[in-house]
Amino acid sequence: MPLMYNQDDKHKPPAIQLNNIRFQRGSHTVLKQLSISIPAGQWVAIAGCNGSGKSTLARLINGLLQASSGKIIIHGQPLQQEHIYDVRSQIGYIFASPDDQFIGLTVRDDIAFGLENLCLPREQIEQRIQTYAKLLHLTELLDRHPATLSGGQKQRAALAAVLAMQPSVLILDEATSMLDSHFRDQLLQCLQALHVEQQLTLITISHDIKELSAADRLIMLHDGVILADGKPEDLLIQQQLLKACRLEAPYVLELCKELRLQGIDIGESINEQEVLNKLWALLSSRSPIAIKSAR
Amino acid sequence: MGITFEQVSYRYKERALKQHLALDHIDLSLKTNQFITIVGAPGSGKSTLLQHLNGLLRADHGTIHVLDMVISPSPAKLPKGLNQRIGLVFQYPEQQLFKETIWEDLLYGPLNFDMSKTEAELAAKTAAEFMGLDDLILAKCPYQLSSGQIRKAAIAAVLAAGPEIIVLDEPTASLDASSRLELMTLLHRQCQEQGRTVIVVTHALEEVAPFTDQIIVMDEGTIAFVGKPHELVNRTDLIDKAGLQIPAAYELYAALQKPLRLSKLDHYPSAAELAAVIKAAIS
Repeated sequence: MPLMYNQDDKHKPPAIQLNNIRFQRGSHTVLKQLSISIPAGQWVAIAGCNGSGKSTLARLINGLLQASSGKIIIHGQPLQQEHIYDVRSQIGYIFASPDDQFIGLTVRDDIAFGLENLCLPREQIEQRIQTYAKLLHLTELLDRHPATLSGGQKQRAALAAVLAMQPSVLILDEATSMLDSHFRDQLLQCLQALHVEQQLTLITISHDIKELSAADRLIMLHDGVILADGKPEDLLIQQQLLKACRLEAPYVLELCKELRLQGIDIGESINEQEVLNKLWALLSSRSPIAIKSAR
Repeated sequence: MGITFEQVSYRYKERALKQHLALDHIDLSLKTNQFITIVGAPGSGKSTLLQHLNGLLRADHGTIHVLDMVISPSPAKLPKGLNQRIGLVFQYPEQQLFKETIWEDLLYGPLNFDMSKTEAELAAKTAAEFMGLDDLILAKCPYQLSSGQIRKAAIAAVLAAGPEIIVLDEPTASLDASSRLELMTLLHRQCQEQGRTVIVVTHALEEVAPFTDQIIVMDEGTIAFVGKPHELVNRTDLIDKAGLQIPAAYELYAALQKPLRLSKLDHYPSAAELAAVIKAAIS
C-alpha cells in the first residue's frame, strides 16, 4: 500500500492533474495507471532510479509526449493538441543537458528568444534579461556564445531563459546535476524564493537528497508506479524506499543507524544539525560541564 | 612513471580577449596508480587540464610527461599510443558514441588499436560486464538508452581499449545516487585491482572523498591545492571559491572533535567508524 500524501492545501485548485495515465513505449509500459494531483504553488520532488519513468512523466505534463491512455489537466484545461501551445507557455522545462535547449548565438539572444515569441515590448525584454541574468549571476556572460560556457554556466543560462518567460509551472529534469554544490545551493534558494513569492508550482526531478528534501512533497517512482508520496523528511529516512529508488542513504542517516548498533539510539534523521543537537542533549545529560565549555 | 606538467599554459583562441589563461603556467607532479580528483569552480580550467592529458588540446607553452610519453606544444607530433594509453570520458557521453549499437562502439576502440577480432571482443565483453551492461543494452542504439546507461556505455567503451590512465569529466552527473556510488567503487577497483590511474573531475566531494588518494583544487587556471581530501577540509577559502561542500563525515567529525576530545583527522571516517569513535568517547 503506497503512502498517501496528506495535503494541507487541499482547497487550492490543482495546477496539474493526472488521471490514470499510462504510457507505453513499444512493448514496455513505462508508466502504469498513474494518478497525481499537484495543487498550484506546491513544490513536488520526483525521485526514482534511472528508467523509473520520471522524465517520461515530466515530458507528458508539458505535452512533449502523449499518454497512451488517461487524462492530463493543466490549470483546469485538458492537455489536448489544440491548446498545447497555451499549456506549454505556462510550463517551463529545464532539461538535464542544457545543450538541448540553446537557440541563440549569445546568452542574451537565448534569453530574448522566448520573450520575443511572447511578443513582449523591447524594453520589457531588456528589463527581464537584466533581472534574470542578475538572479543567476550571468550578467558578465550575456555576450558569450553558449558553447564557450562551462557545464554549470550553461545550465544557469538555460534556467534564466526559461525563468524570464515567467511560467506558472517550472519543471527541472535533473537540472542541477551539472552545477557545483555552491551554485546548486544558490539555485535551491532562488527556487525557494520564486516558489514562495510568486506561488510558482515546481516539479524537480532529482537524485540529490538535499534537493529532494527542499520540496514540500516527494513522489517516489519505481517501475512506472508510485511507490510513496509524502513529506520528504518522512520518506527519506526509510531505507527500503531509498533502496528501491536507488538513492544513497545520506551519511548522517548511516551514522544514526551505526550509532543504534553501538547502543546509542538518537532516532533517525537526514538533518545534520538535528543529529548533532540530539548528540549534544545526550552528552550534556552525561557530562554537562565539559560539553558547555567545549561548545 | 607519473604525470608531470611543467609550466603548461593554454589560452582558448575564441576567448583571446579574456584576461586570464585557461591554464596559467601549471606545474604539477602526480604519481600513477592512484585515484586522483580534480575540483574547482566552473571555468577554473579542470576540463582544459584533462584534455591536455591525451592531446585533445595542445599547450601553448610547456611540456607534459605522461607515463613514459612526452607531449610538447604543437607542431610537435603526439606520442604514439597516447590515445590508447589514456582514455577520456567526456562530460557529455553521448558525444563519444557514434556507432549503430553499443556493442559496435565497444569494439571500435580495441579494433582501431590493432587488437585482433577475438581480443577486441573479449575486451569489449569484459568492459561491458564490468560496467553492468547486459546483452539487451549492447544490442541497442545509443539513442535508445537512458542518460545513465549512455554514461556507463561510454565508460565501458573507454575501458575496452585498455587504457593505463582513465580520465573522466564529471562522470556521475545524471546518474542516480546508487549508480554514482557503484561507479566510484568500480573506478576505485580499476585503480586497486588493475593498477590503473583514475582521474576524475567532479564537484561532488562527498562522492569521491572515501576513494580519493590525491585531490587537486584548480583556481583560475592555476593549481591552488594538492593533497589528501581531509587536508582540504580546513581550507574554507578554497572550498568556498571552488563551490564545494564539505562532506558530512568531515563536518560531523569537526563538530564533535572538541567536545569529545577526538584525535586529529587523518583519513575519511566511515559512518561505522565515527559511530564507534562517538561510543568510545562518551562511555
